[in-house]
Amino acid sequence: MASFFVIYSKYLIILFLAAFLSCGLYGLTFHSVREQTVVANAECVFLFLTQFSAFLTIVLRTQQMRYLVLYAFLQILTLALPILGVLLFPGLNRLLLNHVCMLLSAGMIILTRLDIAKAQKQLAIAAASFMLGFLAVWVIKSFKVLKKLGWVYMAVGLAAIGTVLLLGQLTRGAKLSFTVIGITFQPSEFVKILYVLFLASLLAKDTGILQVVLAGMGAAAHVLVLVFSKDLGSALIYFAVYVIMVTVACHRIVYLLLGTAAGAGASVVAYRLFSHVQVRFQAWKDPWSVIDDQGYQITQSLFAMSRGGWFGLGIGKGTPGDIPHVETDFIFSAVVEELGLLFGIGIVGVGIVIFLQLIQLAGGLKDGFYKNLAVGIGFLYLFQMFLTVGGGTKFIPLTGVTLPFISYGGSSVMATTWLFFMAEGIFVMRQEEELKIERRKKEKEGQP
Amino acid sequence: MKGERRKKKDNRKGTRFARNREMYVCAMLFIALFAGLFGYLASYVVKNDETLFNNSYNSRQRVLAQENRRGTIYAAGGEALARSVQGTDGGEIREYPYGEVFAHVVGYSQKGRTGIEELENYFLIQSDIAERKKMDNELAGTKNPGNDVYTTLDVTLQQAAYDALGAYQGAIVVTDVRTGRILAMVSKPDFDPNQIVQIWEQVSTDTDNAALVNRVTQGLYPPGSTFKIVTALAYLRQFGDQWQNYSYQCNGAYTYGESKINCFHGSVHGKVDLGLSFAKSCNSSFANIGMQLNRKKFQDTIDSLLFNAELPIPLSYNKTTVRLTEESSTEDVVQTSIGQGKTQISPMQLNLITAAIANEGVLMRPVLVDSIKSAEGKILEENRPVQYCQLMAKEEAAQLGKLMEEVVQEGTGRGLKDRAYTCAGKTGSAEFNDEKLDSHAWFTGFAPAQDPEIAVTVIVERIGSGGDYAVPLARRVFDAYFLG
Repeated sequence: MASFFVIYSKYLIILFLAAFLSCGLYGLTFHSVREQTVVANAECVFLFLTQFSAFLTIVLRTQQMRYLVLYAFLQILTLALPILGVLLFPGLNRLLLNHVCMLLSAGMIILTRLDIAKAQKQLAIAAASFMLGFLAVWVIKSFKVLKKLGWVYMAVGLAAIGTVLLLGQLTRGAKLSFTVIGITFQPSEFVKILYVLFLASLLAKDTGILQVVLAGMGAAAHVLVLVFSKDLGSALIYFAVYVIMVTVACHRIVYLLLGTAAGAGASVVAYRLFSHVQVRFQAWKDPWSVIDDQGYQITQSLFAMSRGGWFGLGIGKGTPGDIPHVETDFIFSAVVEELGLLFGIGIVGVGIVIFLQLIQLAGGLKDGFYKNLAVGIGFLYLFQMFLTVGGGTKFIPLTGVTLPFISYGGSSVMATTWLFFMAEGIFVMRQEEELKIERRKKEKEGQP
Repeated sequence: MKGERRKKKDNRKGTRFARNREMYVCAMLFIALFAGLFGYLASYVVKNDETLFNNSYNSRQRVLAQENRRGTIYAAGGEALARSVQGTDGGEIREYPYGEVFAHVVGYSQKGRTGIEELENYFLIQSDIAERKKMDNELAGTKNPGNDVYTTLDVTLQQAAYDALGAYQGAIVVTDVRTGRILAMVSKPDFDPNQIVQIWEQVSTDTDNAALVNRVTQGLYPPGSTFKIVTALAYLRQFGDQWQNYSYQCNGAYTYGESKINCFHGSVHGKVDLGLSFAKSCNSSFANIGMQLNRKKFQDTIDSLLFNAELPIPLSYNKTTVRLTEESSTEDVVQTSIGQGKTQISPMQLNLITAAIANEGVLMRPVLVDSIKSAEGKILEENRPVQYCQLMAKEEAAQLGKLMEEVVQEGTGRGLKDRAYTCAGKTGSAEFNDEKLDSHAWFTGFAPAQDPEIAVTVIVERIGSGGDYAVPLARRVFDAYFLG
């Protein structure tokens, strides 16, 4: 029986994820609170089934109890989150929370299999991030003054990444992190939050050309610091987020076209100036000719995916460890190898559903700041996912950014959690306003 | 003014969609990007499975080699040609029961891979037995049996061809003209695949013998007089029924400008028509024919017979080359017409042309592997006979067939006359350097002449004329097939 389960669990896991994803897509189509709760509960069931089957497979295969402990913690965390969340904030969007939990779980499954020590660390950081995340919900919904702090966000953000540029440690040729009291931070992940707040605030005030230029100068400062830190992946993300937020806030498609053209021009310049850009480009264009060298990572990633196929080899049956830095830049390939391409696409699908939820949220908002914020968070997240998945699979050149929640990386998990909880804050705020309006209506009706 | 217009615009499009149009456009763009990404990934997984699998940088094979025991390669009669057995040290040993006889076509799987071992590596190394059994094996610590490859090779015929070549260097290939099945494929000098690791240093560096080369598919030789099949076909195509009026007075040499070419060993053939020119393999007459051909049409005929093109054969091979243009010199045209000069051909390609002539002009796709089955007998892949192309018209094939029959009845192939089966073919003595005595001996032909079954192509290196040396070898192969 046990061996039977180990063989067929990979199909079960894909099935559960598909059911979960279907619920998520269905949840996008209506707004009744009661129905939302039913869908959210159904999602929770499929989330637990996915976690359960995956970890049971791992435990049966390895016969090691420590995996069981990790599973217990993950299960408790994902169970406690919606309960605690709804208790604290009745207006919390549980679907969004579920989707975030699913991404985290998928990451935990593959990280556990790759390196349990890293998985444990990641889970601890995620738990802390979630708890602090509730604080973010409260801050966003309660402090309207956040709207007005535009230049403050910029100053703090620039100071943070500037410090890294001056004092940071080198990671694979790029200055990404520094260490304080034994903990290594990657500030550019956290500065993303400030950056989105900065743009949301500036563009809420005014969308005239002068304001766009002013915001653009702030954005350019961020991008330049990141370029000098050789963190080109982040620089690209920051740039794209600026272009899209401006386009949406100003209602001008022409900004998107201009931005794309400028981005293309900048890529050419970067290609001419930086040898590591040339190397990355070469490794993308024809990795097979440099398979021993710059092409090694990407070809190993391609091998891993081809090994996996549609349904994967099964957890623990593949050799994803062949890919250098698999747990950060190439986590998607590891997922495809062992859990299958269908599972990989399903996980990206969950990310897209999150994005659509944020777009839906932004579409209904009147206040420019919160709307910009929702747009910024949504596109920031989706673009980063596209860069990682596309880069790791040779669809586009590799940029070396992580897949939020799934890749190993404490700063990334924490920052992305807070971004999503800020979105939750907007959900809660909107819910409370709707309740207020309804109450007023009732009071009016109550009066003769 | 401008403000007013803006206001109007806002009023007109006050719906939720209009207010968020740009956002939706951006969102759609991103969704489209992801759709492209998913499409790419899906096609990637479907298309590249096998090629990436065989890349030596892919660890998959190493992992599978630990889990599975490499499958068995069988001959058509069920004899094992390659199998994996447990060695005394517990490791896996690849055993080739027939040793040198199947060395090239079956190949080896250590020190790189060749032959069928390379061709079907993907299947041999994997095991498609029930997942349940695999789990049991894993728990028991035993390996899964890999998938088995069932080839079209005939042990009797292979052995006959192998023995016929004896100590000569050269190659013999036998195919079933109706199905394209490759029945025998021998190349010499050979090596013992059982000893490949021990003898590697020696065989891989000895370029004089080049024992590792499969001469059937990789050997390129001047076709010599066997190319007259092509020249004759070009003549038939250009002159139609008038070929019967062809006549030439052979004085033993054909003179053009200040050069001349001789008939083999200076023979004088006298007055010949096309049939006799072909049967006697008269160089002078064919040089004369070549000069009458339109060069463009000649080259078209050459190209139509898969020269300068990819061949539909599963093993690694070398492409043959012939090139004629309007600007080609008389020397080139004359030399090409009789299969000398820069023209090169592999025995496999000559066999394909012969098989098509025997099969009413239809070339069947050559098949080396009949089927692949899991150790439990589940069929994973099956190659049924399929037409590859119509290499020439049915009438043209019949016409060439008649010419080739005459070769056996009255010409250079008389060594095959008066057997229990009738035979048709063409000999060749390909000179490969200026020392006239040194030539490769060719024969390519089919039998029975009526309702043909098999095509046999023989080359013996540096030995003498095709009629003297290749024909007797072909006879032994035909005998093995028809007389048992």
